[in-house]
Amino acid sequence: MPIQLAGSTVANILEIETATKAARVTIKPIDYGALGVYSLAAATGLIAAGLATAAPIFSWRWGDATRFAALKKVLISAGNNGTAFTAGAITFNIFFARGFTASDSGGTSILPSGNGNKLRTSMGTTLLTDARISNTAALTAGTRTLDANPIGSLTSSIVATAGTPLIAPTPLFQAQAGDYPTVFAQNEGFVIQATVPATGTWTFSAQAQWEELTAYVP
Amino acid sequence: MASFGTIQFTGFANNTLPEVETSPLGMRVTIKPNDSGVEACYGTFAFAISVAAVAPGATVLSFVNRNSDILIRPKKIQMAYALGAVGSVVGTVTSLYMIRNVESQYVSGVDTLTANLIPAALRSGKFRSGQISSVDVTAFTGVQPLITGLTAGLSGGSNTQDTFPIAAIVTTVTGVAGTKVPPFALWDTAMGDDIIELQDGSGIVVSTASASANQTASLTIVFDQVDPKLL
Repeated sequence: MPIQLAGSTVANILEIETATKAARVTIKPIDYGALGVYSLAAATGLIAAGLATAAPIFSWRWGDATRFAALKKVLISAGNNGTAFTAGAITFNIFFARGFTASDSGGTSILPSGNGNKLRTSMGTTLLTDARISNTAALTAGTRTLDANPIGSLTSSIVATAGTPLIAPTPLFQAQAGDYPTVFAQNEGFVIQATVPATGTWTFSAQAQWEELTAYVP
Repeated sequence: MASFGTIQFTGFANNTLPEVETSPLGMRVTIKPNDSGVEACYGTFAFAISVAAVAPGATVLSFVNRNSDILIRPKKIQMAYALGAVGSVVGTVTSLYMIRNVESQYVSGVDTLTANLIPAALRSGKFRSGQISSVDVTAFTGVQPLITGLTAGLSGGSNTQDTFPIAAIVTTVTGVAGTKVPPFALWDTAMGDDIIELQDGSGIVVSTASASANQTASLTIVFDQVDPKLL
């Protein structure tokens, strides 16, 4: 004899579609527990021409000794405003950084405090250690070890016309529902590097979204 | 080889047995929207608005929850820009900020065309007519207010805006008249993603920066109002 499945509220019985014989489900965000979920975004100033190859332009470091950060999404965009580039290829790479003993420096610190960048005000203040973005030049690399290969990469090209977009808003890393996120323990994080053609001035933005957890169980 | 007993379960109202596919033996499911509650002030809504002559750094949208009985959850914010007959080389950063501790919301400044879309227009944005059909305007107090500057920016009210945005998008256009910035998502919540949850006194604002005085921007926002007990 078939049984019925009841929820925590016993009167709520799972329904099955009549035609397709499919069980109904709703998809919810993962329970964030006692900490919280955060989204942090920023744009650079007008970055000067002549950036070195693979220049660090965004850095994010997790330093908490006991808790974890699960990175869900890194979204970037960039545009050429001001002086046109020499036509050529552009590349943005995101690297997993391990063994931080000194954070990157320079640029603009964008480390949230207080209620800053919580997706719900009742969440805890972020435990993030450092976050920064370039202003008009590359960041100064701290002491950390980047993986040999990036975990995300975007390559595009640009024509020699001022005002041309470099990268339309695009995820450089994204863990969708059911995907394995990038999980950072103490002194781990990520770095975004840029390689662009000569002569052009440009603006870059990045948005990082992460969850802070007392433990991560896959 | 061990043998196992089997059970079947049936649905709530129609006594239908769920099916398991022959290969790869997966159970069929349908994905339903999350329950927003049974009270008439809950539901899902969308608005599309446009602003003209966007000023540098202007706040063009303010959206605040002033109701302690509900959460407001912005799911998607999509924007697009268009240049008019006069071309201009511009760089635009569009930002989405959280605001908290709202004592008074953003208000209109010198812009006499600033529009508060609440409450009359809100009733037209519902996704199902039955959601608020029997509720009077005063009971529909979730979004207070949804304000847009139609030809200029808004003036800040008494609230605390986060130092850093939760989303920022760079767009640029060439100096060719008629150039456009294609639609882009300033915020987009996919299935299973974490969600912005606006408690009483919290809100979001959208601000843009532009060097051009002849841009038109369109903005679409989709949000729902939910019973916190259901989360």
